[in-house]
Amino acid sequence: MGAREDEYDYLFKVVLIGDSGVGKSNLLSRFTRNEFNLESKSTIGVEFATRSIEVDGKTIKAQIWDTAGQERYRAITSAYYRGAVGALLVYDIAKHLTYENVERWLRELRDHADQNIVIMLVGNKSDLRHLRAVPTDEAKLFAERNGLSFIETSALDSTNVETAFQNILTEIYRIVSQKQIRDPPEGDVIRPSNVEPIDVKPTVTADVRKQCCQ
Amino acid sequence: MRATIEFEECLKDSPRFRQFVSKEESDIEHLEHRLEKIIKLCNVAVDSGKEYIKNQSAFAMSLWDLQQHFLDNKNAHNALGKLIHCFQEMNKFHTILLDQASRTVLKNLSVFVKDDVNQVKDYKGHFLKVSEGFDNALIKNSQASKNRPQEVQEAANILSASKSCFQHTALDYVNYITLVQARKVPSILSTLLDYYQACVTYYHQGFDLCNDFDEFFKNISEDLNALRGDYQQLEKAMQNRHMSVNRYCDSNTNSSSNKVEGYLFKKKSKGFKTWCRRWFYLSDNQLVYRKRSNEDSFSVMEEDLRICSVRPVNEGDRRFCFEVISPTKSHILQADSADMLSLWISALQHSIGAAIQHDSTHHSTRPQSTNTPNELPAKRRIHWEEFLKIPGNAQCCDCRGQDPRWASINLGITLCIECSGVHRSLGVHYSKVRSLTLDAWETENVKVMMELGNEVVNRIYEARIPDDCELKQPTEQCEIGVREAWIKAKYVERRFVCGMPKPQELLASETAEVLSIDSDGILPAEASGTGKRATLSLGGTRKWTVKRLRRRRQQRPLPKTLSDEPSIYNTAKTGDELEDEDDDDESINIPSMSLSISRDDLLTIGDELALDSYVTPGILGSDQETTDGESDAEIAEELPFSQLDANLLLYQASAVHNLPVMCMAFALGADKLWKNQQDRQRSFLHQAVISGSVMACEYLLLNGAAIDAVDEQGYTALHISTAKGHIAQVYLLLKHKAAYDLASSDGKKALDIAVDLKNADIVTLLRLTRLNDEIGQNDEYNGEDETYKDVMKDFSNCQPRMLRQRNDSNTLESQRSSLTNSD
Repeated sequence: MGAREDEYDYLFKVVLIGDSGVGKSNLLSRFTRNEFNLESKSTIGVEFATRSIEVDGKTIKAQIWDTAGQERYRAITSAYYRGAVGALLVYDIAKHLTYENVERWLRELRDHADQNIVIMLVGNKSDLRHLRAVPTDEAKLFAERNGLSFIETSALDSTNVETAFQNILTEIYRIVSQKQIRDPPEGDVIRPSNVEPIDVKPTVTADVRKQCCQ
Repeated sequence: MRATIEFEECLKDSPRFRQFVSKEESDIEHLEHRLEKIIKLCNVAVDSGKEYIKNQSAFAMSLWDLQQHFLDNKNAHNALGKLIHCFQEMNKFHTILLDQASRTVLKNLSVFVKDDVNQVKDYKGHFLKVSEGFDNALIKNSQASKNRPQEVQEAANILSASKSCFQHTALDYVNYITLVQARKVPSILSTLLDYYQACVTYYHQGFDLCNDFDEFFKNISEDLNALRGDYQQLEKAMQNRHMSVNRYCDSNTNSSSNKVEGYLFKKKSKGFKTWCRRWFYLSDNQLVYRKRSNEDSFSVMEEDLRICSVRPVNEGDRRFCFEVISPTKSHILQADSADMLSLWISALQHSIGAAIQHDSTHHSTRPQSTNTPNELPAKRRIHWEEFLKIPGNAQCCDCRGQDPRWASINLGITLCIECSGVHRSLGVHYSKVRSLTLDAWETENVKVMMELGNEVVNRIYEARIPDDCELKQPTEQCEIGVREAWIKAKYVERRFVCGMPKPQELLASETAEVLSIDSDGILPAEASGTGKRATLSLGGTRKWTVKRLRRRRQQRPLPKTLSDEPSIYNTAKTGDELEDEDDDDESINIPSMSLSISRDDLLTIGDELALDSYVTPGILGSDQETTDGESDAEIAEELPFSQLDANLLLYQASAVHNLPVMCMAFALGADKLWKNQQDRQRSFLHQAVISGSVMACEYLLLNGAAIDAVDEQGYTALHISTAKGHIAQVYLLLKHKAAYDLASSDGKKALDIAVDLKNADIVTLLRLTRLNDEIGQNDEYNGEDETYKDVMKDFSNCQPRMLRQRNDSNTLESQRSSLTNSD
């Protein structure tokens, strides 16, 4: 194996979910290509992009699945979430309905994703200050109650986009690298995620996170 | 010897004497220096010898440690002990030699230097003093005044005394010098001779020692030869073992041994899908693995092999992969080679088979997967006995043996184990063999099986067996050679295949003998139909066509004509076929009869292959087929007989997904790579894709159709299925590794079309496949992404329901119903 430019130590699958029009695709393009498109079309099915970042000297390649927000453009599969170790749950701070639907998306994650998935609540379009419909404190409180990280971003003016991805990837890295020390690659029982719907209790997630931040 | 000086010269104290003395002195000095150098070097030699012996004995000691290692091997232990003893003896001798060296050379020479040479040196001082005193006396005597007689007398006395003393001393000095000179040769030589003797003794002792052990070590070298022989035998045995592995591979289907163990790469299912190498073995109907490290722990991968199945995985980038599937789990494993892969697969299948047979009660109550939600979706297990319900399938297609347990998925037939072996030996381009009981069946393969079956296929492949045929038809008990010859003649040479349908013959025979290849098997209703047709066709059959094939279903009391149905609804229904659904499929017989009756100048090829309807197993209810365009004409385009050939027949049959006729066209020698020059350069696969049928595509692909063939607009089958929105076909084509990046003449790739059409499922399928390939390319340790497979399975699983959802806009009820109104 030569020194490929594509070499990495970890590959993390992260999904972008949230209502249609909250800016998931632009968050992705801002992060991976530093692009923003005011007139971007609805995502059909799913789109992928990758970017590598460094954490603790390790190269982490993020494989980001940008899913369609609109139900009619979503594919039938629930395997969007399979193998995902992180999820950015995005809402639009200027549209309260998108924030209200966060709970539904959380339920979707609980039904289909790994119980240890790291979830970050992202209030996007923070540049629309004059149109704000979701107070930061309210969202923050909600995130705390549900054991989520929280950040407000603007894909348009780049505020916090980098930080949001950096934070979630670092958090995943902490958990994964600790887990690898704790249980070496052994005893993996393959369990399709739809076998037993696991109820993710916020406290559990909080515990995990406490451990990793030490 | 050296000439000594005359004593007279000494007494005279002549210059010669003085010259002699100084010469001898320097000579002795020279000797002394040489001897001192020798002593010094000898010391060095002795010291380094001691160092050598020290290391040598340390070496021997280390051999002792080695000997402890061979405690369990008496011979080796013994021989090593003797060798160590020898080395130690030799060391001892060497020590003695060094001792002798220091005793002889060092001691004797030192003594010589110290005593004899130093004596001369000491005496030299004395001599010089006396000589000086004599000189003084002479001077005093010469200075004595004549006028002082007393003084003269005194000086004379002193002079005489000094002179006498000097003369004695000079003589003594000469004596010492002479003696030393005389003694140096003997004493040095004798010293060296002593050392030589010591060396002789050393070698002699060594020789004696070797003599003593000679016998023993001769024995050892004989033993060594024997051991070498053993080793070679062992080596051979190892080679033999390797051969036995190969033999095991070959004969595994019948082998009673289910012992297999070894390393496989295991793909982690969670997290990052890395591959790790583990030691796998079968134990007590369990598949168990452990790490290479010597911890004694192990993990059970599958607790009960009876509920598992094994299949090779060809989708991934990695070679030699296979999948162990149980109702709840799926494990991807990778062998190191194709041989190992087949060994593992056959061993596992054998173990599964053995476990099932061992416990036949479990066997019969084997859980049918369709009702467990955990089941791997794409490999829905059909109860294998359902296959035997297809007409003809209860007997082996070739030897008519009872209860076949094997199948050829591209021919659509069931086989006994012996015939399946012959089929396998034909190569996969002729016959792809699967086990009915042990393999996991893909839904589309099940469907192909359902459409064909032994009776239909034999009507084609055994249509014309000459009475004087030199080949014997194989029977259940017949020898392998008979089977081989028959099967080869039947499928490779296609000797018994029915002839190309011809209108003249039909007219001439006035019966269905040519076209209805085996009229005995035809239902009364069908028989009357053909009879009628034959009568009616007296007017002259000028054109031919192929009838659209309906899936054989249990006949319903109230058949409806399909053309009455709204086509989109129809698509969903035929693709779905849930049992509880209001079924709109009718039996094949009814429309076919009406067609053949209605037109006397039209020959509907394939009617003679049609069978009685029979109850199709529930498995078909899960198929994802979208037979779009069911509302289209019941028959393919009518064509003049002048254009009838195998290729065009297959082309037309593909368009109406009539598998029996497709099978017939293949048997008549249709060219897999043929394209229709008259119809936009389209291939059979294009036709099948346009027809909307998944099973027709699968059948063509199984039989070697070129998956990436393009028509005159540069469209591949994937382009067309994408444009038509046939998700199941897109899925199937991608599963068969269709190229998704080909651009058509107007520069469009399949993905572009899917995006234009906003077909989320196809977009997802295409993008995901590309992503998966990219991962596979970039990371040799990741291979095929498991998520990818999960998603793909979802597609094959959810297809019908989701299709219905999408097409029936009023019932957007789904598992994500909560989200439907979110935006």
